Amino acid sequence: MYSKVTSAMIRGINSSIVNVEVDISDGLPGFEMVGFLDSAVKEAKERVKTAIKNSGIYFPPKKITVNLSPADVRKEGPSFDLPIAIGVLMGMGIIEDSIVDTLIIGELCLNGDISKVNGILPIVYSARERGIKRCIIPKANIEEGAVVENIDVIGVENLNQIIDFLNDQISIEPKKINILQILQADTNNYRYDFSEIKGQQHVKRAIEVAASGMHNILIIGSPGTGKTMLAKRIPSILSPLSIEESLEISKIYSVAGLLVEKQALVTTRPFRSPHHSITMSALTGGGRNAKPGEISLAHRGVLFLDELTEFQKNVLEIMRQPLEEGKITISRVNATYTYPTDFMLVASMNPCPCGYFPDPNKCTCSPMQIKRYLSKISGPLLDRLDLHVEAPNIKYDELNSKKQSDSSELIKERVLNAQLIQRQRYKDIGIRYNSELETGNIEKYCRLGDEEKSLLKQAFESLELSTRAYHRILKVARTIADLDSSENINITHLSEAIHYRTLDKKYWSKGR
Amino acid sequence: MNIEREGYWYWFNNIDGIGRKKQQILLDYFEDVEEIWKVSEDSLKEIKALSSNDVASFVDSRNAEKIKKDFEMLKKWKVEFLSIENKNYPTKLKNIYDYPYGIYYSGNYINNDTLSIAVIGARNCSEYGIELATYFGRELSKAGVQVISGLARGIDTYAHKGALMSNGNTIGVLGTGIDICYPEENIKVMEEMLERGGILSEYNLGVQPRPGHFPMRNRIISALVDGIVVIEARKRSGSLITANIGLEHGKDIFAVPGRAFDKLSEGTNAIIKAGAKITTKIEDVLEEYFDIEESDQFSVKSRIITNQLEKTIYNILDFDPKCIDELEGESKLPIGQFLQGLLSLEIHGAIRKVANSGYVKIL
Repeated sequence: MYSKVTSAMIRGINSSIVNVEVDISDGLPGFEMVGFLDSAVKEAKERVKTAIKNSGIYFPPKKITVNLSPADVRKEGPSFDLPIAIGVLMGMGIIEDSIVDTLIIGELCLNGDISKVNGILPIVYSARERGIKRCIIPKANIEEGAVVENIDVIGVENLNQIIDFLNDQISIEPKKINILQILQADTNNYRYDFSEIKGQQHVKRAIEVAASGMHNILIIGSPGTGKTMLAKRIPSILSPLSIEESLEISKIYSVAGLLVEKQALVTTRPFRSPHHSITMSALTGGGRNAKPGEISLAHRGVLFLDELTEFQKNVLEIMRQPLEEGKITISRVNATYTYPTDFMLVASMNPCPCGYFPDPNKCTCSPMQIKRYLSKISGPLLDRLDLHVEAPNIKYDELNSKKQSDSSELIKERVLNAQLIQRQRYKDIGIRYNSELETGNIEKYCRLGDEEKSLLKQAFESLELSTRAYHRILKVARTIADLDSSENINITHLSEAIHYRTLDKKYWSKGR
Repeated sequence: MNIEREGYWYWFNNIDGIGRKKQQILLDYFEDVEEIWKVSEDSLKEIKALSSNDVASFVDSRNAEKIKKDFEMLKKWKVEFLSIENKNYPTKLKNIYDYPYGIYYSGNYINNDTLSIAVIGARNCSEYGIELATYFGRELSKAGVQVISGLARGIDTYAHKGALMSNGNTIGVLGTGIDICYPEENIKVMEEMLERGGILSEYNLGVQPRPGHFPMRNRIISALVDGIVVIEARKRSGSLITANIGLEHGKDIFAVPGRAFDKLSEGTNAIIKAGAKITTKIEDVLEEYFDIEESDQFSVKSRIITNQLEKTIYNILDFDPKCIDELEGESKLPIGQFLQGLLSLEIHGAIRKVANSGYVKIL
């Protein structure tokens, strides 16, 4: 007897429908599975057999054939266990009615329990788009599945429960949750606050500017100047997530299997800080079983690369394109995936290999060593870092001072205001932040007066700025003007922006 | 084959194992360099100071072809060999007891008649040291003094750079062959000096830096000058060696004082205690050689800053780097204005940024 169940598989961060067809007929007893399967899917037959038996159901010695279609796409992972089992049970007549408009997904344990799988959110999401009315998913995934509205999401714990449910012997209420409530409940619970850091006013200011326009920023400083501490506090001044953003991020986390149980959505902006030993594919995503990498996990949030110069050079270079385009496309033998990568890059590094440059009593590096060290950051990558700021050594007095610095909440208020101005200005051209401005639009939105133009000219000549700094300076100046709620970029805004281009200047070496 | 006299001297200066001392013995014994060229192996063996190895390399080295080739090589590098008999050999150099019998030279010749001053100091110097070295180099050069130094990292480099700023003739004395740039990062200064100054070395092309070369180089610096200005020096340092040699040579020693326990000034403070002249401006140096009137003919005009905003910021700056937070706090200005003033000062060349530690005034 033939039966058919609808299931789905992950492709990138979207999903596509997979039909599970089961045929049970007389003949030499056996369990055959076809349809371009990897070994985790093939192993399903043992789990399905044993789980059915352990649920107290007699497993007949028949010839069972399972086909997963479309057969030209490679299928991975254990999430087809449950649809296969349901298909078999339908073929055996244990489940009486055929199932329509229902998507089933889940992994089976040998005792018949159903355990959690990755990628539920995008699967339910695209199920709704395709007009499917009901999704039956593992109970452990119910929160993330329920985030999608206008579709019934039912969580099941074991095989017997789903059989009873499909045979209408019990009823399970579809789970409903209120996204808005979750999002609102979870704001302002960030652990760190900028007021905890004494001193480094200049760096804090630069971070405020960077956060306002979502500019990429590089912090340079000796060990112990608080670079990492500062970077960790950046999420505390970023705008709260909108529902769309939250869903976008949650999809990625769902695919990566990083949503913890009972967590329906990612509610805070991601802050990812991979170790500098990270490999290329861990950063970009991919691998045999394609998964999003760190740059995608940082989508709509912050990617913090501590000790930038310690990363392998080729690992850093692959970030160029994603930084520019906000997405990365990875091609592998079996498929091509696209992951979103719209993040704010925050990087930190020491000024020299030993870290204490230019203190003559502590630093033992030769100018050539320093040059080599700095050359690990290529020009094109440096080009994409809008702000460079130095974190000087903190004096003891500053550590001990009673002077209160601005709290994250206060800074956030200013940041949000600046972002609001940007959003209103750019509502027609489909971008949100100054950092996204393209060259053609820079002239239009970052217009300078005569006085400002002459300052910029002078600065370029006497400070030997590189030409690539030009547009960066204008964009950053625009953000500074927005922070000041000023419509025009005036000379103070421009001056400040020029200050944030340290590495372009000639004197990133000793002396003059 | 005929060799010119310079050729004999060149050969005499390039025999493996025969250094300055053995050269002297040979010259004392045979009296003339051409005689030495002609001397037989047996008569060489009579000299006790020469080992059998020395004699062997001596005999091997008498190769007129090679000398000719070497001269072509020197020409290619635009380096000239000056023997003690050459009219361009710096006369002042002959005044020391262990003068080299030949030197290698490129660029402008040393002017034997003008006042020459060495500006020397620590390699790993402070920003304050950089400012002072540039100032002494620049202003001495402007006053017509020939600034001589060792083209080493730190003070030496900035003294040369300063002198080049006022287009003076500045001479670098190397501890390596002239074709070798040590330290590497000085290549630009070195190129500029080959064009507008001069470079001198006791060592032939291709000789790599060795620790022993630098004290030898220092004796040449000291010989060439009338006075030595030590800017920053640690307790045991090459600069102090130069100062000591300078004393032996009877030169004037000037030292820029530093703070009592500052490591970089321990050396200069020590020589001040021993009698070096305390020096804080070029007049302190010049008055030893000329009559300078009280009217500050040579003095640096102090910078005039008219803009009130810039003035406020300039006044809180120092010659030691001050970090931007500190400056902003002291200026009591709003951040935007403060940065505007700072940038404007920087553009006008009144201050400069020091990587990773803030800003300093330019002297």
